[in-house]
Amino acid sequence: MSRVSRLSLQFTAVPQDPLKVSWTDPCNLTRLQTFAETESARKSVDELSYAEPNWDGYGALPISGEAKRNAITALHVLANTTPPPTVIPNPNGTLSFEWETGSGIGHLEIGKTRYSFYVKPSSGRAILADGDADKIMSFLGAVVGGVLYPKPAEPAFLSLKFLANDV
Amino acid sequence: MMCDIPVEVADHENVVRAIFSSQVDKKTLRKNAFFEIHDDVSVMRHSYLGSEECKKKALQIVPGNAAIKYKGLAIIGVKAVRDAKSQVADSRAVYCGHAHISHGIQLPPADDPLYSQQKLELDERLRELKRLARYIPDPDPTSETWKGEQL
Repeated sequence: MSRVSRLSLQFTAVPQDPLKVSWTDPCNLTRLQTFAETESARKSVDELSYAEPNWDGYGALPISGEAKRNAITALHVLANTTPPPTVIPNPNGTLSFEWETGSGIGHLEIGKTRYSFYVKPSSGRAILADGDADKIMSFLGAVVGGVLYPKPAEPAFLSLKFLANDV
Repeated sequence: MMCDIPVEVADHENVVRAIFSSQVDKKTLRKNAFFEIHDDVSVMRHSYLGSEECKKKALQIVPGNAAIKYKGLAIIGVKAVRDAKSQVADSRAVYCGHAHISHGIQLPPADDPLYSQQKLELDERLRELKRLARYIPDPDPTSETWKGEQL
């Protein structure tokens, strides 16, 4: 009998919790940081006061209260699945969330009644979505996270321990 | 008033866009630098007006939001704009030396976005123009004279 075949192997493994598969590491520090960043983005939307006509000097329309409310709701919906975006006011009275990494560009524009979404990977076809501005769902954030913030390949198990009773 | 410059905007000309704080991220242009609610993006014919006059005209633009400040000038070649499939036309009715860039792409309605396919098309054009333009932050934004890098 070979030496290897006489090894008595046992292992214990904790399967990866699918609920914890997200763009962020499942550690408290990162979650706190994410919360702070999301709050910061929410505050920036809240404080955006482009309520005046011609706020940009080039004839922009005011950003409506409805668009702001929809954007704040969307920030909370997306918070668990993607990093906080850069928030940009648009001359047509809407707000845009933008993400840009070496992997591509993500864009979510939110208006009074509708949203418009795309993720354009650095290579390959764009992913598009449209819908009601008050029904933005977290899967949009998962798409952004998955395409623009890919994680290194994760182990199938969080811990794996070999016990060799040898030899 | 007499406007003694050609109506035709030639390929070899450069045009300049006055840039405000909502159009830059630190020292980088945002794609909305070349976007307005109507398909006539205001630019100045730098080849005829020169940097000093462009700066004076930029300071005459008064945003409705006092927090939005003039930040600098972005210059782009007319040929580059046309190669990107946007158009440049003289608009001397605004003032002599004024021109418009038009993208010829459907623009969004008031208060709502374009549908995603059209939005992506518009954004790709705007990103291309942003890439082709050279943004020069104004080191002295309140001065009547241009003290930035040569345009």
